[in-house]
Amino acid sequence: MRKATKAWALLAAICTASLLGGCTYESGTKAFATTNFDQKPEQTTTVQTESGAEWLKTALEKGKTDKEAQTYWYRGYVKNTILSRTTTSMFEGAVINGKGYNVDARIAAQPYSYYRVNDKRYIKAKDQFVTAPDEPLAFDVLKGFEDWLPFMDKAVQLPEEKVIGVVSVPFQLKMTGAEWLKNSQSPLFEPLKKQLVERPDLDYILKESTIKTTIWFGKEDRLIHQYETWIILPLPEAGTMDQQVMFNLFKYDDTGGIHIKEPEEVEKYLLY
Amino acid sequence: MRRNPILETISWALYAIALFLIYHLLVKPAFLDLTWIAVLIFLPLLAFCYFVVHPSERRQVLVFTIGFLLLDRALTRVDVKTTAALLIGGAIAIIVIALLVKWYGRLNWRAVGSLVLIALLANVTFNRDTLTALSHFTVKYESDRLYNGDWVDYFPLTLHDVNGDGSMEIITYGNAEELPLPEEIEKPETEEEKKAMAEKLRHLQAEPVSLYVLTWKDGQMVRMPNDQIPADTMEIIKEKLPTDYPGFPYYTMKDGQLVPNVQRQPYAEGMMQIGTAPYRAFMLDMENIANQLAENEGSMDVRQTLGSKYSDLHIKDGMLTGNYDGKPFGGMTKSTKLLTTMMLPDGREGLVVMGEHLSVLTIDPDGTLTESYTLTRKQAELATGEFIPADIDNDKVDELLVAGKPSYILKPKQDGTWEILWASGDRDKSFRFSNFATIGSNEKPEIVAKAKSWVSNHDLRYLSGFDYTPEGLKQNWRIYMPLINVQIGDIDGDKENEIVANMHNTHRILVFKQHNIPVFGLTIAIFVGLLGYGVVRRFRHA
Repeated sequence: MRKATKAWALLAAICTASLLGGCTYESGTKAFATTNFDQKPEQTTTVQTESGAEWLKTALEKGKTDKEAQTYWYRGYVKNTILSRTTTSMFEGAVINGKGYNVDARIAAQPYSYYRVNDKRYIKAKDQFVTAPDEPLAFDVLKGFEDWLPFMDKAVQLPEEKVIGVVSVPFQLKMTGAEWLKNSQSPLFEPLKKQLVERPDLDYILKESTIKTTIWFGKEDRLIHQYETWIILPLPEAGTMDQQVMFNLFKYDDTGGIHIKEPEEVEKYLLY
Repeated sequence: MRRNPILETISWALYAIALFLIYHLLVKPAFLDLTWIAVLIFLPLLAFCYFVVHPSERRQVLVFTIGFLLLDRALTRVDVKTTAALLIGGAIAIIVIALLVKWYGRLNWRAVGSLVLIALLANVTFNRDTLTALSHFTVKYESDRLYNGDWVDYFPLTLHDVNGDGSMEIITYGNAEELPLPEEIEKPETEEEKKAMAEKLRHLQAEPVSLYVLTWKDGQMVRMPNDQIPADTMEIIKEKLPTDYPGFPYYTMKDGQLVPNVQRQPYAEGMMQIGTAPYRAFMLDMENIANQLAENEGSMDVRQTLGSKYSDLHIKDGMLTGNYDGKPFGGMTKSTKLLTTMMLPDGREGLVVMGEHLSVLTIDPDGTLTESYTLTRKQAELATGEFIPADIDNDKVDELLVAGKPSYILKPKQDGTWEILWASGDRDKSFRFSNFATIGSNEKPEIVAKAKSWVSNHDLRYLSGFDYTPEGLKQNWRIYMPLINVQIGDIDGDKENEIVANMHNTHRILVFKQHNIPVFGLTIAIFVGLLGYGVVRRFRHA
């Protein structure tokens, strides 16, 4: 009995000590944990004979014409980090070229869905379907990739890696925003190019910015599987804004698994 | 029964209070902080408690204990959307548990009454958030929800003596008054109503947002009308509010509104031309930055005063200008943000600025700028970092608390390099410094940080107070709530600092006041006393 009491007393003492004892957070390694900032990309050992531009051209060509490349899933996001705040917009869904796509999206924490089927377009927000009234943009999911072509000859090939199960060959480009704007033919840049004439303060932002784009091409199927752009811009009162634009295209030719709501299915529930 | 009925009722009530304190102050924190280790500690303890009660009373004590803890929890979780739901829910919980306890535990009505009364009092007499902090703090004030909009998760918060009465006002943004919640959810019936609702759903809506200045007046927190705040004070307030870009680049705060810059259909279609996604994102960023620069007339950052010696600071066109100790200075800079100032080993006050990298600038006698210390992006993740100057070793030289992954305490050395005094654990992605300030009646300032549990890998962070020692950071206290926006200042004018904070996505402001009652020690004493009483009673009975 005495022994048992002693054991209990000891246990009680341990419990009390562990509850009462001031905890001290000892230091971790006293050295700067190097970040991947300005890290030179690792050169690949298996250099492809074709340039990045040729890989991109092939991918766009195949993406437009190959029968197997006309249906696929995608997911993407745009993630902005400013000081300690992160704001993200997200998109995911499936594409059937020539017919339509669906988008489960989120802009600044507000979810919604967008359906585009043949010539019908709907928004679903707060559990209600409504028609989408604006004049649509061209249904061309690969649009915009061709604007990288003038830069792709300088792209650095990175080591192959698996992207959602597919062995891919990544090519990477790095430049300033000023170089991007100057050398790109993208019509989307026209308003900014015009604005720059009278805004030297924006020149400064562009010169001090960093753009890093990587495109992952499937080694076997030669299609685009992943697409990432980092945009780092000086931001007034905030150091920099670090933005990651990331897209994955996957499960090409998943004809059985992809279902986009037919207009009749939506019309039944249409609010207005 | 041979016992005095009043004494018996009081005994059961005291037991309930002891249970309440032990559960909330010892058991819960132990599980939150120690996870499975707490299980190892408490299982034998629980077994001991079970056997220490005489078999003839075991059922009653056990049922009372479980019944009380259940009812306390049930009352805390009752639906509070309407008063009727609250009353009905509470009454059902009480009746069900009281009858169960009475019937299954074979307890008398005095015990059941004590159980119900204490559980009820524990739920209506004080703010339950106090329980997360009770070892050192009580909740002095909790605001209503200040924001009724759809999407902002938190707004910046600061403290400033707006009315010059010597105590701080709490300043943040909100729209609860401007955008009252509808009484009930509208259901469109007519064609017209459906059309109007569809129109609303198609587009992201602008939301009103305005500055909320809360002041402590006659024992309550009230909002100061914004039109009573002089324009120059308003300027200072805006400068003091931490820079924040809620919703950037999708929303802009403009003329008392959060205005959307994108819309659902065009944005989805634009991003579905996937190749153009970064082009569109970049254009949206640049449009926002262009507007902001136009509004600020090209200024990157402006501060009327900073630290004790800097005034009229201005970054524009890559030039930093201002006054140091009354004398003008200027020089080139790539920085976009004036962060703070810190005392350096040579006795000068350094100006901490950030662009791609962080720099501590010093002003030479001829008015030129020298970059005395640098922290590069290679060394630390600066984009999401926070930087707090703090003289933690009392040598009149400030260290820099860097909140990041990992976090560091950096001491500026004479030769222009940093000495790392402390770094957070290699696998700890949660730890973040938040303040360095004196709390309550303490004499010395302490480090306030968000830290995760000691054992768990879970990322939930609790606000904790630490003192720096050469062995590491010694924990003084912990509030078991994941608090953000932590500010420290005297809110109620009693010359002691309170902790002001809120939680992600709640838009409620909490003010924690330190007390000097050794609640934790007392609870342990009660616990040990209760066990001792059990042992004595058991052996007397046996």
